[in-house]
Amino acid sequence: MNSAGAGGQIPQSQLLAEASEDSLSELFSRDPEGFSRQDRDQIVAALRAQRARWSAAEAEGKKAPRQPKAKAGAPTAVSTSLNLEDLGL
Amino acid sequence: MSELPAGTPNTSFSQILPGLQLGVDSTSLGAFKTCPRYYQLAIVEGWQPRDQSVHLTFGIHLHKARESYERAKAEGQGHDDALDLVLDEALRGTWDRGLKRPWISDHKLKNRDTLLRTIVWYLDQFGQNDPFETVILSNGKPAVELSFKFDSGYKSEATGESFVLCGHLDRLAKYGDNYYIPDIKTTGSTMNGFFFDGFSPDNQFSLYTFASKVVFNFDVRSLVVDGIQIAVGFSRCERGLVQRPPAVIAEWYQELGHWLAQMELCAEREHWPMNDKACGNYGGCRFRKVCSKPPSQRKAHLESEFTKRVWDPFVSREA
Repeated sequence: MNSAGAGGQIPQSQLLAEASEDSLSELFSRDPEGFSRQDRDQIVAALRAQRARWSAAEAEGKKAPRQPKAKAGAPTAVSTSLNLEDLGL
Repeated sequence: MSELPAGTPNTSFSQILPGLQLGVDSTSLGAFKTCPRYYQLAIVEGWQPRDQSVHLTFGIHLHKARESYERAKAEGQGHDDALDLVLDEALRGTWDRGLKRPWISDHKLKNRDTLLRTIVWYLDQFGQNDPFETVILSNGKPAVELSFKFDSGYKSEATGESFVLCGHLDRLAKYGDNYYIPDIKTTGSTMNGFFFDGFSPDNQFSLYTFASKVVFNFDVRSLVVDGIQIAVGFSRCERGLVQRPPAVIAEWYQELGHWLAQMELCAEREHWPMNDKACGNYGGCRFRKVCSKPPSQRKAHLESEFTKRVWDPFVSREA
């Protein structure tokens, strides 16, 4: 598998700042038959704002240093109730 | 589309040997290769889980979005206008006018909200400025949702009828001098190298590559997989290339004869044996509980937990 180019600059718009989760829920609950282009632009802006927030959080998560995992100690023998000699082994 | 209501005659099956499927698509062939019993239940008899339609509905809308987007772009529309058209279509397509409410899905990952979000996020990332440009056919139309149906070259020894291969290519694209088949695959899991490696070998992609050569005369050697991880709060889109060298396709085609012969044998004997090593694949087979029961109890379980539909690859998606 080769990695192919991934474009995907997140488009910015003036509506982006106005977009909110509430407005999105309200729009999604309405009959789209009566939607105007402006209504749909608002949906796109809200979804782009979501993506921008998610991308920023992703980038932040990648930058944050990972907490080192506790070093595993030397493996210890697990206890067993079986006696190998009883089994003829 | 290929899925039809129960009771509809399935034209992809032989009239002479009723259990023999002659019109074979990647779904049918893949089902048989996975497990003949799974194939019997899902394709020959047409059982499907009651909640299966959520995945189908989601997939149809997502693929339709890409198709409409490409058509709009081919007509000269810009990204925002094409996206607006697609969104309008998806909003209306997921609105039940009779009930005056949106499409309701009880699936936490595949519902109307995540569908609309996925469409916008995906097209913003892989729609605009996509280096893999949709091929424009000689009739001036974009090469999207291309249905194909062609004689496989193999015949049933039992009935003398030809096996026909059929299916739908989402899109044919060009990058530089090379042709590619792009496809969208969704997953609920994190995508890593294994996600894209999972398509080599892969029955569906090999058939698509073969069809692109035989039917459309495009020398495709790779597929472009747009993987979309759908989670509650995000839709992560990643792209990978999946190779299909000609020698691999030649081998796939030769082995197709073996699989078709096996399908014929099962139909003649009216017995599709269980592959009990496939029951745990992909999180577990949908029919696992059925097959776990004694044969005498299976029909009752199927009737209580599943519904019936007809899977007919001869019926095009536009129908």
